Amino acid sequence: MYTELFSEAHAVLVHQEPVSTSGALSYGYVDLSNYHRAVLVLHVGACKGDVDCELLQNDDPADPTNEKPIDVPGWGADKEINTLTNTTSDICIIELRTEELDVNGGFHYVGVAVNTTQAAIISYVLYGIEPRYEPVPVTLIEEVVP
Amino acid sequence: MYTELFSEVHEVLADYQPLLVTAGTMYPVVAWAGGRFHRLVFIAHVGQVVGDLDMRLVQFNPHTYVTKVVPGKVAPRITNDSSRFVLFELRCEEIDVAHGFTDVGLEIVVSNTAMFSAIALGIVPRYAPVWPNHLDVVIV
Repeated sequence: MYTELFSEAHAVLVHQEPVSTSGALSYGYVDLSNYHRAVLVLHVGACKGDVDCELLQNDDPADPTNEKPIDVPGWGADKEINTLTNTTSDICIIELRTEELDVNGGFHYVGVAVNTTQAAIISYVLYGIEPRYEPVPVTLIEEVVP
Repeated sequence: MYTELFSEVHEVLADYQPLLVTAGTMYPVVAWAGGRFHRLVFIAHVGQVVGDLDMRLVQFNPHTYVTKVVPGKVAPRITNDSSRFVLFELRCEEIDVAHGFTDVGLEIVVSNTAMFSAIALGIVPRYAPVWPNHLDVVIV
């Protein structure tokens, strides 16, 4: 909408600061029950090996054993970015409509799983968009300069 | 709008890959604000900072090579900190287009080192869907 601010309609649900990493990044789960849409923006700097990234759904944020892929019916693919290899300066986006989650089974939490085979510099942010209520919280934003 | 995708109405105009930045002044993302978008957002994603990190928006006239600050678009200094997310919202009517200042950039001043990435987004486009040129992968 023309008059609203980006930060009023896009909630930063979780973000990973730019970091040089190797292996699997630890992650938790965020609740999407107040958003109709979510989008993950993955920003990859220099990487020598492979970078994989996937959105996973869960029904219990305290129990990672319940997590499972977000399998889109009729599409045959998960919400996954497969193997960026020996690359630099890539921006990747995963769009998620919350009706793609198994909400009937109580799966309304998502996590961001990132794995690298060798050293890579990455950052990501998961936005909740199309919120049920505006303005959205700005808790994870250090500063909004309007 | 409910049915549209994020990537259809948010265009990545410029990006600065996650990188360890050393001392100095630089302009990691510069975007043309001359007509296709009503709003711009500059997203600075800050990792480990040693020393000070200052950020502000500047506007640039590509014909006269004159640069000046965008009034009020200054973030508080970040000192010896980490995991900070800073958003600059810009309405294009806030820049001095009447005098040819059509480009806007994020200026950062690093006193020692900072792990840093940034993206400039064009939003509220005149025409949608926007170009996905800067995106490597879009998973829908």
